Amino acid sequence: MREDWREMINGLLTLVVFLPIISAPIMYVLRKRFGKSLDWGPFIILLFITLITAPLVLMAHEQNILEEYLWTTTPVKLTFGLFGDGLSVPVLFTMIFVFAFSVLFSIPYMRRRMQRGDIVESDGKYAVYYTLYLLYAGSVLGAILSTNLIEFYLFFESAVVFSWFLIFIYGYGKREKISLTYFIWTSVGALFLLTGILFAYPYIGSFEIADLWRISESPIGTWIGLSFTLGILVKIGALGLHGWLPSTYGEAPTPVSAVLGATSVVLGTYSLARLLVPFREVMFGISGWLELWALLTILYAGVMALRQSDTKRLVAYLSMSQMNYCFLGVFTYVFHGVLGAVSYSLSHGLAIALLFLVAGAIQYRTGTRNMDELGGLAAKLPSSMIAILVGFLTIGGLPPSVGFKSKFILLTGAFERAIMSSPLEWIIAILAATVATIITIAYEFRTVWRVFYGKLPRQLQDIKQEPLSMIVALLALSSLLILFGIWPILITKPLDVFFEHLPW
Amino acid sequence: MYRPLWGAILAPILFMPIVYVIGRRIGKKVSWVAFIPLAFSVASFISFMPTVSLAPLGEYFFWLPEIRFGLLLDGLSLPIVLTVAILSALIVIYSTSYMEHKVHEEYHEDNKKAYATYYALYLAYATSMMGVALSTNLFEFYFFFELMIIPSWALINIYGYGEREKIALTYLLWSIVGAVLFVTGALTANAVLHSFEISDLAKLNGHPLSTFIVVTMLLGFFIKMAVFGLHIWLPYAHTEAPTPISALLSPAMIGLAAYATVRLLVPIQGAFQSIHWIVLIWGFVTMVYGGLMVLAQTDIKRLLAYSSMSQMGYLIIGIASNTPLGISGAMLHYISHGLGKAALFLSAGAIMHQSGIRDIRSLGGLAGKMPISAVAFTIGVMNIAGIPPTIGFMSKMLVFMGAINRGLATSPLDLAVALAALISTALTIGYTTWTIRRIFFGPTPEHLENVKEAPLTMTVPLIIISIFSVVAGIYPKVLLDPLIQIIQALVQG
Amino acid sequence: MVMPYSLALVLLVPLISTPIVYFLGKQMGKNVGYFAALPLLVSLLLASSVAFEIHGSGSYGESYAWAPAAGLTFGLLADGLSIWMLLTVNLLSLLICVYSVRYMEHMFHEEKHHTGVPTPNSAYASYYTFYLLYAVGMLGTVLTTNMIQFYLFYELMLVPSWVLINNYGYGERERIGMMYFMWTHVGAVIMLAGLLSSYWITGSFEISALSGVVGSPLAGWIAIAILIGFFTKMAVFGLHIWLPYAHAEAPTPISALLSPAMIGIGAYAAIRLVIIPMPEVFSHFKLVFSLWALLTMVYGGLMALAQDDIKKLLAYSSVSQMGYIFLGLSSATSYGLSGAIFHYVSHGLAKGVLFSIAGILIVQAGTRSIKELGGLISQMPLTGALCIIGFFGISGIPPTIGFMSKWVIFLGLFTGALEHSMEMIAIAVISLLMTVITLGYSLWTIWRIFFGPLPEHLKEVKEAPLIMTVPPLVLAVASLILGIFPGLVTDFIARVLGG
Repeated sequence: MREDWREMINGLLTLVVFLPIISAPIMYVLRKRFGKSLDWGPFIILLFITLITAPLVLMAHEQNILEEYLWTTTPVKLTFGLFGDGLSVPVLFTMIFVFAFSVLFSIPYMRRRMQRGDIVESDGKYAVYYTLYLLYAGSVLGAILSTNLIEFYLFFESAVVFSWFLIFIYGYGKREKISLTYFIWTSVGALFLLTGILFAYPYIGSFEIADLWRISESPIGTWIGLSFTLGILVKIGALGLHGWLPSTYGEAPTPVSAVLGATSVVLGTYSLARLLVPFREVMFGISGWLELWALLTILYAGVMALRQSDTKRLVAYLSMSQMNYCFLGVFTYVFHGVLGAVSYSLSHGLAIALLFLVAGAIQYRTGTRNMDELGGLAAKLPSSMIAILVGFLTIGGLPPSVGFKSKFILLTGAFERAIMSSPLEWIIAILAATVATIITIAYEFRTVWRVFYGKLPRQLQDIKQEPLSMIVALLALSSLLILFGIWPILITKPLDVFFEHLPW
Repeated sequence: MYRPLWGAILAPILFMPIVYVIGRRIGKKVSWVAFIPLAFSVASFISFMPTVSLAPLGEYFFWLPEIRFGLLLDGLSLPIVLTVAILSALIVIYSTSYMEHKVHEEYHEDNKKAYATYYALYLAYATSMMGVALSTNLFEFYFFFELMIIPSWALINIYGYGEREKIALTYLLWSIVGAVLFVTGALTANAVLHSFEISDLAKLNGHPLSTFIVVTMLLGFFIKMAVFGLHIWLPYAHTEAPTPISALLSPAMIGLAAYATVRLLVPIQGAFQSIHWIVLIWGFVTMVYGGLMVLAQTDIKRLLAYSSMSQMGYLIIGIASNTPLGISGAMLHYISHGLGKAALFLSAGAIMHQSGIRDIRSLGGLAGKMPISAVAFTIGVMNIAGIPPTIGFMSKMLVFMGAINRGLATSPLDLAVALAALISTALTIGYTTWTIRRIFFGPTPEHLENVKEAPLTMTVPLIIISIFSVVAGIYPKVLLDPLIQIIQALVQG
Repeated sequence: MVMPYSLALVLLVPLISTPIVYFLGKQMGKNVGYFAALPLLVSLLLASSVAFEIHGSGSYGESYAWAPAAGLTFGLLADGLSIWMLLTVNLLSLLICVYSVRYMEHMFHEEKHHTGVPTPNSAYASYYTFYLLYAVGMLGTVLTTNMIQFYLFYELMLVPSWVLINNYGYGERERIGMMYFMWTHVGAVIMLAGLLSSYWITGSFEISALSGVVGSPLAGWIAIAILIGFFTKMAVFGLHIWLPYAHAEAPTPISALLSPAMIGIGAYAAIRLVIIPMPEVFSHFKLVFSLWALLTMVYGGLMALAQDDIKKLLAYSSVSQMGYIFLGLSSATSYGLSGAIFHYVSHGLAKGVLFSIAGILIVQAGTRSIKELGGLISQMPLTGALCIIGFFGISGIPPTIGFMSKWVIFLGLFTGALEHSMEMIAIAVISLLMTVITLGYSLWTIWRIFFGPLPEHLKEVKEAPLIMTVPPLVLAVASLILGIFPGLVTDFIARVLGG
């Protein structure tokens, strides 16, 4: 029976990555020809991929899948590989899920955006949106499964490119300027990444990610690691490298904000875990300072969030604050810290996507994003209410959500690390556990309250429920989060098995 | 494979969606539906009573490979969880009429959704409290500890009085601060022990970080117990919460922190001993301050709130004595205070329900109009004051015995405090009797001429609680013996 | 199996067609462009068959006796290094020739408006004639094995292109043509001096014999002399003055050959004539060269940022891109060199696209000034998309071939730095970071031309006709395919350079 499975799933990963990429141009042509009904196409495709990936999650703790293709032999031998193991499969599944349901959400959303907004509506515009979206999805999925640094870099950059286009064409406000900021920041980050990769090559002898462990033989290993880190940190929005984040998240079209938010945290943390954990020996010395950096980001973003009245910007700062817990977690460089970071990133990814979609649903029905104009929506928008509740509980790390559990494990790691290190790490750990949590809770509850309870302003009396596709999207993401909250083991088992095997 | 303990504490929360959906259909009567799981829990725990005195009952499962969640029912946790369960079950019945009144007042119509939400949140609250009482693992404990905060916050926020949003937020923030202090201690403990098991905490004895761990956790608990200095939130929260919830906040929830102190911190004897005198003094100050503030109150609920603070002081003194007698007394006092304060809040609620008044100055001579409430109130008072034949007498006596024993054995300071506490007990008796007099005796003011006794759904729970208080007072043995056994084990390590 | 004389035919077919094209042109006028394309198509097919051939066996050469008395053989060599040079030049020449038809028609039309004199067919005729000669010159340069032959084709590239600029250019075309001629010619002559000195030492005109120069005290001087010729062609900083004018004021199809195809040949030549035969000599100057390359790269990029004339912008961009290629050369590692050649291909394709688009803008919108453009994406979506792909190719953004070539160059730079000299590490890191400048002007230009508000006077602008959009489309598709399958190019290069 096992062998049959092995046969069947060979080629699965390739399908997962390339189906969206290849169907993108086809989608473009068909959408222009056949119009509105094709809007369902991307959702069907991504849903299909979600369904076939789901069983992989259950199997990932037992066996890995490797699909390799010879890419080029010159000037350097490069293999194009897709690797599904305990680390990449849960991450993959989470991202596909987010992509699938965000595109479902897009269907009514984009129609409204183009009818009401400042973009000229045309079949071409819709077609391009879905094309770019599929390409974006494919790139992110490819990055997660990459076995080779150049391949990883290629997918990583492509993801930036396609998301940039989406924001550039379909965003709000000063979208051109904002998206350019996003692009340039992330590209500079990518250059740091490339620098690291190129410097690493002579020491590890190849571009294979699996060979990164050899980096400990390099005298400049710490610098290389730092270079990698800086590149990835731009994506996570660490303090100082975060300039692009609030405005981009805020002004991107909502489904794109949702996947962008999820990608930032999930792909960012995954990259740190996959690429930086092998650097443990050479980076351990400075990891304490990196933890401090993470903490400062968490605190800063937390305080900034308190001052926002625009729902999307609030969610942006909220996300930045929580994402950097993952940054902290990875650099504790202990089992619990990294495990907690990755599982937290998955819960956060789902939750942030959910929150952005909720903000979008609210905007769709009420026409506003300004929290001062909202209130008492619980009765009118029930799916949003559930979604916001689940989302905020997860992000705040409150029980009984899966966010609570993963955050706890992360903090466990922080303390374990602290006890073997210096007072600096103690302070960091304590502050992370305490002050940061308090700030988080403070703004969360305030927001939830303001938006969903309280008195319903007169002008919002007549709003209808969210459209069906939005309801389904919101409920799907909420359900997955609730499922993980009850059985976190579904997602943590493969991660657990993976991390246990590493030499700590 | 069915696990009775897990079933007992999860039943309420599993009923949450059912209650919510049914509540939106049928409105206020859904309280009876909510009663079902709670009654089930009570029944389950009572059924374990005989066996537990022989051997503790534990149920475990592995949540993560190294993290084992479990529920432990032994002589220490049984009385606690039983109190919580019984109170929750009875108060949900009480809520029926109470909430009907409140909802009508607030929304001027029959808002079914309000009922549904209330009972749903109530069930979540109940489960989390029971979970705290039975947890065997620090992570699990923290999970339930934090989980308690959310429904209670929501209940105060939606159904409270006065400036409820602001008050709820204050309550929330203080609670969170307490929770994060606790978790700091817990995570440090894990970093040292590589285990989250509560039973492993004793191994911290002698470790340099043990004091730090004990202090942080203790501070977390102290916030919940509203000790002096960290108590600001309590008078507001307990006063302006909807009365049935006040009857859970004061009696059930804040005392859980005392239980936690005993379960988690007492075993770390070395550290615990070293801070013992601070704890003692602090408890004493809390007790006195609370008592004094009571004297100044005119709002009946606020009076009860400060009284709770004062009673927490007693609990702390008992725990600080670090003797089996004293600590057992403290835990027993949890029960007596639980029953007593619940009775008090519920009768106060009945008075408010029937007369519409909270201000003591406007009340008087109600004994004739509301006899059941009067009796229940009196028994509650006796419980708190420690007057036989209520169980309060037993518990208070044990607390003092423990404190004095300790005082005689080790330090004059303890002795002094114990004696001072005895004296302040007099204060307690004083104010309580005086309150009874003011509310129930004396001339009946005109505006209260037509007041009648509260409906059955309110009086029956009152009666039951009173009966328990007296019965337990007469036969304390069944609770006390297993309790003392366990405490002895914890103290001796 | 390859046809015999294939390489010779690659050169001869267009060459022989020249007089035919001239006569036909005088009869047919503008459409002779299609006819001129045919021989180039034949060359391309022949070149492709050679490519397939050498994929298996490594290299393919032909030699013919030329002047045996002087020891001169006419040799043509298609190996891993030269084959892609050949294919790129050939493809560009072919596509741009087709593109020229419409462009030149428009250009002559404009002139007629200004001067009132209708264009005689001879104008078309001579344009395509010189075009073909120019193509042959370039094709020959990359195939040659013999120094004198090399010099011959080198000058053969120069003369027709000078004529084309002089007669068909814009602005002060005569003056600019002269400047272009003088600079390149002086460089070529210095190169000749170097080559002759080598002959004097080694006694042979074969390029492969240049290695015999090593060891001689003159080696360094010879290398420098030869390199100056190439550096002039590549327009490295200091020797670059002529390029912005020439490339901007040349007729746009010719710009599309000057920038992408021709100047890069300088790099190829540097590898073939100096680096391969005399590696140690070249390595002496590594540090200087890498700094010089960095300077070129940054200078070109910054100047590009400041331009309003789109052709001038592209011209400065080419200077900057030559800086990248120069960087690759300066590392003197096999990766760096491979990257340089690879980058020639990617820049060739990308710049070809971009200059085509410049031409499209001139024809459709009537202006070269970026200030006057804007919001054209709605009117010309295909052109916009191609422009994006083109600029991405230059900035090295995946999935274009530019991404591949860029990282190979830097791989070379970094590994070279680590193995040999630590100062180079700083240069390597800084250069990588400076690539942001390219990204900057690329994005900015795309934005300013195609996005933002659509000015009134452009409301009627329509998409360009197929004949002008298909050539850049083909180039763009090629750059994407090679971006995904870089092996198609690098496999060949590696044969010669290792790696």
